Amino acid sequence: MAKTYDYLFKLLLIGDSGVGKTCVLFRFSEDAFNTTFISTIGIDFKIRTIDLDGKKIKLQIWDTAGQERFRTITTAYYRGAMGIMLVYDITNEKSFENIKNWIRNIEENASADVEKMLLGNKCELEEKRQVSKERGEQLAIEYGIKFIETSAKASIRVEEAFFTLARDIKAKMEKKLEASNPPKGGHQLRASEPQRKPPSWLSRCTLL
Amino acid sequence: MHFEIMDYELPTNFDVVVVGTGIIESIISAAASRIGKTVLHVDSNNFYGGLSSSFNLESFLKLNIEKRKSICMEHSSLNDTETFFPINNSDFTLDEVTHQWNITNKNKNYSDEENSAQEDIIAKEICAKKWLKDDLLKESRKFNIDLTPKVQYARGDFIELLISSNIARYSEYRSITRVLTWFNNTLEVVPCSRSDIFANNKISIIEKRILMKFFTSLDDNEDLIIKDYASKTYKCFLTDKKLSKNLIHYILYAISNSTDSTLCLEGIGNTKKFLKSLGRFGKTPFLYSMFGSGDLPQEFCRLSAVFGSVFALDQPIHGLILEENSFKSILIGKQKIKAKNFVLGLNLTPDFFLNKVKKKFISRGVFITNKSIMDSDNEPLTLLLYPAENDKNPCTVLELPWLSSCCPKDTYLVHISCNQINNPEDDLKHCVKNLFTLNEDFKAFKPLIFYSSYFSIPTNSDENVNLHDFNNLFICPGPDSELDFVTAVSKAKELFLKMYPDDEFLPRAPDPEEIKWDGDEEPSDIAQ
Ligand SMILES: Cc1cc2nc3c(=O)[nH]c(=O)nc-3n(C[C@H](O)[C@H](O)[C@H](O)COP(=O)(O)OP(=O)(O)OC[C@H]3O[C@@H](n4cnc5c(N)ncnc54)[C@H](O)[C@@H]3O)c2cc1C
Ligand SMILES: Nc1nc2c(ncn2[C@@H]2O[C@H](COP(=O)(O)OP(=O)(O)O)[C@@H](O)[C@H]2O)c(=O)[nH]1
Ligand SMILES: [Mg+2]
Repeated sequence: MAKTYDYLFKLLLIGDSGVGKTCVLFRFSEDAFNTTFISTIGIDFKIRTIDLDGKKIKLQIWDTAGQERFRTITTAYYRGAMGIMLVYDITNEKSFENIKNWIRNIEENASADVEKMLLGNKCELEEKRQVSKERGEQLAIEYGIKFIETSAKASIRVEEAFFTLARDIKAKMEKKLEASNPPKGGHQLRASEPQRKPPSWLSRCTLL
Repeated sequence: MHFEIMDYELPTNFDVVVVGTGIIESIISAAASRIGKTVLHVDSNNFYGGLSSSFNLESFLKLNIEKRKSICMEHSSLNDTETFFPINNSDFTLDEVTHQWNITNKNKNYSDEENSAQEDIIAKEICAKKWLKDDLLKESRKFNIDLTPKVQYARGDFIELLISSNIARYSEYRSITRVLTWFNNTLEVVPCSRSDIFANNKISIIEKRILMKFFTSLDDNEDLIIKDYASKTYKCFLTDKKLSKNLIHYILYAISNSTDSTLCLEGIGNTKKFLKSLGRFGKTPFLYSMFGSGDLPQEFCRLSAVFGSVFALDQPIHGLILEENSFKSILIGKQKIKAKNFVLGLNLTPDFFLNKVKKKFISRGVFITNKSIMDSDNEPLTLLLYPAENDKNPCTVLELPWLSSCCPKDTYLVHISCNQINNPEDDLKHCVKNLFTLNEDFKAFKPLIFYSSYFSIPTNSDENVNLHDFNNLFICPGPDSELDFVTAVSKAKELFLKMYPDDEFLPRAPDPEEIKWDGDEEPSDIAQ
């Protein structure tokens, strides 16, 4: 079967319960906003393939499955993640304060070079705003990460957010490949995909 | 992560409350959630997996081995018709834990030994990297140290369940590169596949023919075997088959993971299981999950959560409340949580339901070393089945390279386990001595131990549980000494079907792509 993409990126959504992570994911993957379905069935992950500088990038975006509610996200959730969207709700001060707790959690469990990005969601609710844009920007600067205010409901800048994160991961990855691996016919670029035919000496496989 | 503040509220009404996140509890949680039951899944530890968990080096070094003190519960909250059964809060109990460092933070000076070019080369080969204690601690997060390491047969029940339930999407596996045995005081590669057998120069052509014939004959004469060997040992059967000493060793101690006293039918069953699992995902029948065995319970918890279970770790779990012959609720913190069924890890089970029996343990050793126990061109992932010796039990040795994501580059993480006789160090001493060295000697061919740890894991089955006809309490045994999770899967399935006899056990979960959303409509299809 021919591969329909050049890179596969595993992304995660993290943040307090209720900030709109699942809605952001749905806005990006289905271009829809619906609150009734979200409580009826948990979302595992969603896939969307995007085009970046002529490369097809398959984004596999994982949702927390509600395990963030009592701060009991499994350590396994973080395995192999290349990018993480940290989401807070601009109308909820506590969700913003908790971002630093989530960052600590990421530092404990995710790979050290994971790309992070900060999202202030529900930005169309200007009248209910508790967290100013400046504070969001300031926190992002503190952690050396990018920041965007989004609205899953009004469809504001959700695309931009994911494209930015994907672009940063791609740039980092290509830099790393150039630095450490002499080019060998581009075979290595697919290392993140489960291989059909495992190398005979040590096979790594995703069970299918 | 530790939370001191406990001022939050859990929902208080469920179909099932699962207490403990060991593998069996986690499978049941996933299965119940999957068929639409509401599940609360809690653990008193602040991590998933209990005694099946894995830890980074720092956490491993300071594992909290103290028994949790039973928290006094406020009996005032009970009414007259209720009886309270306090939960045995000794959930996480490792025993006899020791840690030894064989390296310090000072760099040893090797200059006086580096007097010839040749020795220099040997030195470079053997001590590819000189680790200091601090270096290893700095890499702490690259370690995933299993308390109870497991490998899985490629066609065993656990892998089949992962695939059929679609939980396989949460994990990545590595194939075990080689199976070794200890024979005539050396390590030998156990021929696994047809091509292995033919490439092996330790067995003669005639032996090869006999071996191939033996393997293919196992399916044929089943009835005869059952009749003639029902009460005889597998060893006796192999001897009668005129197999050479060599071959008997490979088949008995490695391929069938048996002992001299294993009964014939069990030995044949094990041999078939091994053969059946060949050629699916790699050169040996075994798989190991990347990032350690501790991720496996979590994957079932994830599925459980995706289908709506509520998860909460680090919970002050006090006990169960019985009312009119069935359990009605569980006390967690100050909350009384109602449920129709309760699933409990054996270690948490109120003493009232346990017959007094002698506890059984697994003796465990964990080692960080500098190279593989047997040289290889590539980084091998090795399973060594070390046969019983004199008064010692057989030992299972699992050597993990960096590629398993369980240790940093240029180190190996080695797990040794056996059924306990005396204590961990004593039970494993002979094996450790034969495989490793403690001396920083360039000419040593054996791997050097940087760090070692010994501990005991309690392994009690549920044979001694007496539930006195309370039919809404389900007890899950703790870790076992099997290589894989076959017993865990069958136990989980058995308990689930007792709870929900008319439901399917973990039907395939749909892929996210299969769930279609039509604009603002409800999801149109949750594929079964
Ligand atoms: C990833 C992360 C790690 C954290 N680590 C710590 C820590 O190590 N120590 C610490 O003291 N605080 C920690 N916190 C903060 C803690 O969760 C509370 O938000 C904080 O203590 C303020 O409590 P509150 O009663 O004012 O919040 P509330 O406004 O009452 O709580 C907000 C929401 O969080 C839930 N919640 C509150 N506290 C907890 C808790 N302890 N566990 C689970 N759910 C809770 C509530 O049910 C509610 O849904 C962490 C937060 C996050 C997001
Ligand atoms: N006004 C507004 N509400 C939102 C937005 N995104 C999500 N929500 C609402 O916030 C609530 C929680 O959203 P959800 O995606 O389930 O949050 P999660 O717990 O982080 O996954 C729901 O009621 C959503 O309708 C947004 O951009 N604007
Ligand atoms: Mg959500």
